[in-house]
Amino acid sequence: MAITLRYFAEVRDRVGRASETADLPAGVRDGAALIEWLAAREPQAAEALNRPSLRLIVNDEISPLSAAIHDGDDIAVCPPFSGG
Amino acid sequence: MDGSPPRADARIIVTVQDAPFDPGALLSGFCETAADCGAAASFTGLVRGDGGLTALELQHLPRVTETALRRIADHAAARWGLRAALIVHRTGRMAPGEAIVIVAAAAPHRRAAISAAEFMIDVLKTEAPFWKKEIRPDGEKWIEPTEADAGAAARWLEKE
Repeated sequence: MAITLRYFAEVRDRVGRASETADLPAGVRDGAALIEWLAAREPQAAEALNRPSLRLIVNDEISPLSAAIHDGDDIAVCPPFSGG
Repeated sequence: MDGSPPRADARIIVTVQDAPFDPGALLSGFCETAADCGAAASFTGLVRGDGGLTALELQHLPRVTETALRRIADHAAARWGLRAALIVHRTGRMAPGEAIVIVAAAAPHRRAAISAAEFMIDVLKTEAPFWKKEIRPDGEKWIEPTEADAGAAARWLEKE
């Protein structure tokens, strides 16, 4: 399953890129599993990824970590927003 | 945040831009479009240049940001019966003292305009995908919303 990942703020700094295409292992089917997989692949970003305040934006919709992930999804990995 | 539809006749302007803006000029233009209103209230956020801050850098998620701001402005327009609402937000790198954001609300009477402007800035801080980083000579730090920020947004959203 291939998805697009976009990183922001501290997560982007730690991962070292703004976006990428990733091929997910078969067992990764929701947001929580995606973050777990990502944290294992990018240990330097694990602390930033494992914060309870982390949110995902899946195909332009703010989504809980329980959201299902499908082939072709565009997923933004979002630390807490801080606008204004 | 979803639910109530906007007033069909409310004029809503939402802009996200890298370029600097002049809050005074924006507010003058906004008031000119609000000739049918008795009140226009606004808030301008500035880059706070304390503690030796050299720059502020703002990331966002294009398209999703505009949709979120539009939803916030539409919501304010419906809730307070606004005739017009404006949100302009900067992204990219900014210097101390520069304007980051302006929100403005126009309504027949002052209370609605003031409340709507306050709502838009409070909710924008935690509900639109922006991230800001403070850059100082001794390092960089991503800003996370404070408990006060979260409380200010929740206060409006819970009241519904």
